[in-house]
Amino acid sequence: MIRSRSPSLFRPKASAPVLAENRKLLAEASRRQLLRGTLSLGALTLLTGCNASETSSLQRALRTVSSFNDGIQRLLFDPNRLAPTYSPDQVVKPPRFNAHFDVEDIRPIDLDTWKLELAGLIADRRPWTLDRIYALPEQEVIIKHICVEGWDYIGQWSGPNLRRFLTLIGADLTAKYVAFRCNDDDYMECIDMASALHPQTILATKYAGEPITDPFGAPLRLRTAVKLGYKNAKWIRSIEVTNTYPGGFWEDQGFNWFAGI
Amino acid sequence: MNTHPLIIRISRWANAAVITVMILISRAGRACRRTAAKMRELVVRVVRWAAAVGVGVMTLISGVRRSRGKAAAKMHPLTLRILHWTNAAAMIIMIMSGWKIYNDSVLFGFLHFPEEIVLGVWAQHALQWHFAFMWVLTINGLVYLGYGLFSGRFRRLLWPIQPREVVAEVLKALTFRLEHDDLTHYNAVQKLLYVGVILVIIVQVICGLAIWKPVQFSSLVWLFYDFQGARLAHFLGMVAICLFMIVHVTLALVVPRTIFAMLTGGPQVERTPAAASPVH
Repeated sequence: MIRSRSPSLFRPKASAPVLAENRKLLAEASRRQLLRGTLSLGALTLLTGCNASETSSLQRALRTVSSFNDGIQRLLFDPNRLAPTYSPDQVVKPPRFNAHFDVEDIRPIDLDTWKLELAGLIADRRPWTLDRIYALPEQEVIIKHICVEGWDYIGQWSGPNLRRFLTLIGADLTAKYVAFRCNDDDYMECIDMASALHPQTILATKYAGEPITDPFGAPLRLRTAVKLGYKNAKWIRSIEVTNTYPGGFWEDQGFNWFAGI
Repeated sequence: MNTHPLIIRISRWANAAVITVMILISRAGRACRRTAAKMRELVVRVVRWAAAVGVGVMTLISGVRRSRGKAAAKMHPLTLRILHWTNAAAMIIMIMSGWKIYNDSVLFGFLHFPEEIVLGVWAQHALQWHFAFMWVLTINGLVYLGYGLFSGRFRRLLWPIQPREVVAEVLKALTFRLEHDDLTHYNAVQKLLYVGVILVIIVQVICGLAIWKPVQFSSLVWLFYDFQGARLAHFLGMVAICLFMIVHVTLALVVPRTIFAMLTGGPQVERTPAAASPVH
């Protein structure tokens, strides 16, 4: 009797039909694509593997510890502690491109029709046009962007302070989460209210003094000095204030939610 | 005193029974395809874990019985042995998951740890392991430091370290002339390496905290110049710990009595002041 390989947490169960229909993709996959794109075969097998390992007791245990770490991070978070700032000559121009897809796959937003939608525990939920957002007082932050992968760079962002914006629209500042929904494949990230209210958290409209361009989150992105890169959502289309945990693109895949630095 | 005390007999037979059951279940599972694969996998996994834990615990406590009721204690008390093996397991997990995290943004272009030796299919898994077992490593480590300091073990075994002794014994070690007949005293090479790795692990935790919270712990980051400096320090600490492990495991294999000692407790040691430190 031939003994088949025992299922393993580290060998996702990719089914034959999935492999067959994506054989062409695999042939075309360049190293860059494999590393970057969620559209590659590797990522598809990841998804099936993720489904299997997500329900496993091991993932449950590890994610439980990750949630515990969220609590620890809340305790460690000092809302008054400012991140180090830098001088304009240290700013990297243009900034480093990073997304869960390639730069060629960016779908630019039509800035003429774009509006920032508001939802949830907010008194005035009328959408904001880009002109109105530009009219708000600008705060500039020159801070270090730190990615969970380990790289960092110094960037210069400016735009309205998020706390002032939330106050202006009558948001419930005692709510738990501020969620940002984005234009790229329903990407969503949410942060805790304490970090949203941090003095160095802004809705960035500009990078290095110029309006943010398509690859870097145009027209609006979150920029906070107290979170890892993946929490700083780009291509924002709506903001929601809520007490119900709305999930998150990276958290669904097993990354830590609080992700505070 | 029996040759085979009761606890030993019970633990050895239970051990044999568990292993036999494990083999039978895995054979039964392979033979009967109709059995739900999930159920089989679960039972095998549970029994494997139980057997591994059971074997481990039984081995550790099998040394306890013999020392009970006697004035002398063992070279490695049970508490110490549990701390040691917990640290070993946690350290291996931290290193392997750390390698995977490193791979995501390498410090050295020529160095990419092979996927076969890292822990974690994708980055998030490695991060999950790393931030879970950091608790095991640090809490276990703090208990160990407290135990070592307050029981007098560190003073007895790791002190003093005299440079002349170190040089002489390192030379002896490199020429394979370093004797190890008496397990109950550490030679200068051992003292240096054990104290050294303890200090390295402490620094490793500090720069780990700096990487984890570069804004909240920005003063720690300053110790290592900047964020990338903290990463480099963490990497070098890993290298130092790995080098220690290579030497430590190799020497333990060369003198296998030391491995058994760390499993079952080793020889008796007198805890009187006269024997606390060798006279020079």
